[in-house]
Amino acid sequence: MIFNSLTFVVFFAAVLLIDRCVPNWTLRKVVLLAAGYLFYAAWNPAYVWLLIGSTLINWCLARIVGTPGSQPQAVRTSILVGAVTLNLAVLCYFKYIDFFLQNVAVLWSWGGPTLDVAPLSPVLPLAISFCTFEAIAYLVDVYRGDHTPNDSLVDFGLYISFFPHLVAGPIVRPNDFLPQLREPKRATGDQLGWGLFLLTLGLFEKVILADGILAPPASYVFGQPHLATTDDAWTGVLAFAFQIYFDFAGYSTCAIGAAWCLGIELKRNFRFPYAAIGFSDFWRRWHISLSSWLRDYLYRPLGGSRYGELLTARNLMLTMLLGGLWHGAAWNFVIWGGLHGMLLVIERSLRSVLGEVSFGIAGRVLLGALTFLGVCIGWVFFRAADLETAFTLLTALAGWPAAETPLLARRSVQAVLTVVLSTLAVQWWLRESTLEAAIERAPWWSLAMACSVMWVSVALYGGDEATFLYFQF
Amino acid sequence: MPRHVAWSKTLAVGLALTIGVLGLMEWQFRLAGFGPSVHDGADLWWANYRQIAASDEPPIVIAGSSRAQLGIDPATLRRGLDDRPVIQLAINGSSPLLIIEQLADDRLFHGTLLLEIQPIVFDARPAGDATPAAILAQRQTAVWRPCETAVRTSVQSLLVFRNPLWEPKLYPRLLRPATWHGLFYLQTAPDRSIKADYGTDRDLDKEDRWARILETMQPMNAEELARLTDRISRAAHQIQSRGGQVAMIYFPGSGATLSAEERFFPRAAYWDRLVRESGLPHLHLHDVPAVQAVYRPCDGSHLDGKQTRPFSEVLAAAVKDLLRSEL
Repeated sequence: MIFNSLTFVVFFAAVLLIDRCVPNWTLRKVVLLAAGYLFYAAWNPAYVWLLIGSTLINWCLARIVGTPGSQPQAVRTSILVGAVTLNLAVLCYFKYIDFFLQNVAVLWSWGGPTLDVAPLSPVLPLAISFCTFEAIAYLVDVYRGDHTPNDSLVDFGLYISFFPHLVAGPIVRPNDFLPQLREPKRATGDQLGWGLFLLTLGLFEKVILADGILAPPASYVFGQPHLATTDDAWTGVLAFAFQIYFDFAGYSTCAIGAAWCLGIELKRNFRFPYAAIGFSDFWRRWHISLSSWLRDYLYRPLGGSRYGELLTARNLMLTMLLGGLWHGAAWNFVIWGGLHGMLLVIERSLRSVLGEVSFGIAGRVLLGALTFLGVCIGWVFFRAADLETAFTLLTALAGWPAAETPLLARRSVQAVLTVVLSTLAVQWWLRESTLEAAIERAPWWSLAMACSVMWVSVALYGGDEATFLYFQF
Repeated sequence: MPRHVAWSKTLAVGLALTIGVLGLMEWQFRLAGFGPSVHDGADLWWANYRQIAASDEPPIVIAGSSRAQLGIDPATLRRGLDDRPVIQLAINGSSPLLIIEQLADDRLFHGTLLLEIQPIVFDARPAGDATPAAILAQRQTAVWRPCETAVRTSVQSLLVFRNPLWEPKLYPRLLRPATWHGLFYLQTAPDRSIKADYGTDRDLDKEDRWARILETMQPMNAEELARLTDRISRAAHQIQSRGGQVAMIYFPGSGATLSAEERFFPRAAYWDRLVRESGLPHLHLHDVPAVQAVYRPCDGSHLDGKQTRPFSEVLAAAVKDLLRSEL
């Protein structure tokens, strides 16, 4: 089920009620674990067994890998490599097997006769990308000694399957999540209040801003790029840039809010990304749990920035290419990742050439605008169904559209621009701050009004649900 | 952990305001005579489709487009057809071709299919198949979706302000009840029947609009019509081989729409030929005197909600006679 559904309201109310009624902490954790499996089974019950099996195997392997005296170092390392490979193999089979076969067939056909490969079309288990990364983080952390593997199976199961973050993140880390399970906890009044407010805000971002206002023009323009004028192309691209932000940030906000209601803290996943100055800044603000995972478990193990500019550039490119591929088995995601990798490399080179230069307000705004422009160009590849669509739109963005008659209605353009400009203004205003700080400063009656506006809007338009975009990743 | 905010007061006042605003809207809408309506999407279509498997006795299934969906009252038709379950699967602005093929492939279906025929069926462009194809592709695999559809439909069928016709662009009208004329002129029930209220939304241009839409269609040539007939016949025979029945019913338009229909899709060239070559039981509503007295499309294409019960009573009797004569 999804957060913006009435079924979730019923499910969440029941979980909250049971959580408040059960006095025993271990029993409450079991209830939360069962709720996670029920939440997952609501999509496809058969795959709950895959989740349970993967949890069991990873927990057992982590106990061996994470106990230094238990096995010789070489054996522990081999088991770690085997465990990580197993996790990645499952991910690759379900997510990338057809993409791989398709590309092998294309390569084969270049050198000789056509190779017909029937797609295996395995049904992608929901959340597999997120669960795999969390399992790998646990295995590596216990191997490195960053986390002791003495967690109970229930705690580890909950780390993987805690329903607020289960299907689309934020990707949790062992040291952020598991210590919270050691002591009995119940949400305080403040946590419950914050949780309900964040759930409301997340739903509003998803239902009203992403699905209601931004998704239709984005789909319209990306669906028929050859009919888009330059204005249409810009509106469509901006609409998608903010649709994906409100969709995914909305989901993360809901997840953080739902977890708060149960007394658990999940780390922030977004911090005003469209106010970023530079691409490295962007990745410190966008999908923070993924970018920090890639940094800690891919970029740094590859060598990070320790071995000179050339190898750093290679590491950045590899990290971003794989980060792109993580989003989906298609070349457009690889190109999107590659583009970001390239922009990060360029930024790094400029920094090393120019040194630490401090910019005035105008310079910072200009750099912010350039960053935003680069990010938007990246979104064209991310959203476009194929390269032809992407290049048609890029051409239109550059001022050479394939059409002259406007595709989008004036009302739609106005709505998109209103959301875009007001969001940019808020993000720049709060770029050095946090949402929580802004809420704490606001008078209570304005928050009450805001809650009411969001609830009324969601009540009027919510319900005919659209799935969160990041579920597919 | 963020710092303290007076959440109890904030959320309580926010909730009170929300209930106040929504309550006021609900009251005002009901005062204006509007009723609740549910969202007629793929989920609801599949929820109705699943009733085929759940029916104890062979159901009557309606496939077609808006003329059947707005014209037939399922409860009245059910009473007129010996209390057999009636399942509304007609899809607005579409051809029933993909639906009859879906039912033909569904071994659980061995009921009676009433196939609404109107000009869109004879349109050579594939536009008429787009919505059914999208709906068929959205067959729910997630276990929770039927549950969500049931809960959502129940809520929507209680509250007028959840009307799916409600759009942001209508906000300016919200504060001026005098402009609510025709705000929600369509009312969809959980059984997917739609009641239109042309009394509050009598748009005189509508009749011309349907006629203009007919002008944009591309009438099938003889070869295309033969292929269509073949596909319908094959699907119908599959259903018949399981003990089911298929009857085709032509729902004609009126006024300018009917003139356009006769011009672009002459009866002899299309309907009569489909009937002759498919050999299926059939009914043209103009041929049944009792029906003609109650079948008067208001906007050139659809019946008003007030007409659906008397029309469905007469239609039930006509269908009963038709099917009895075929057995």
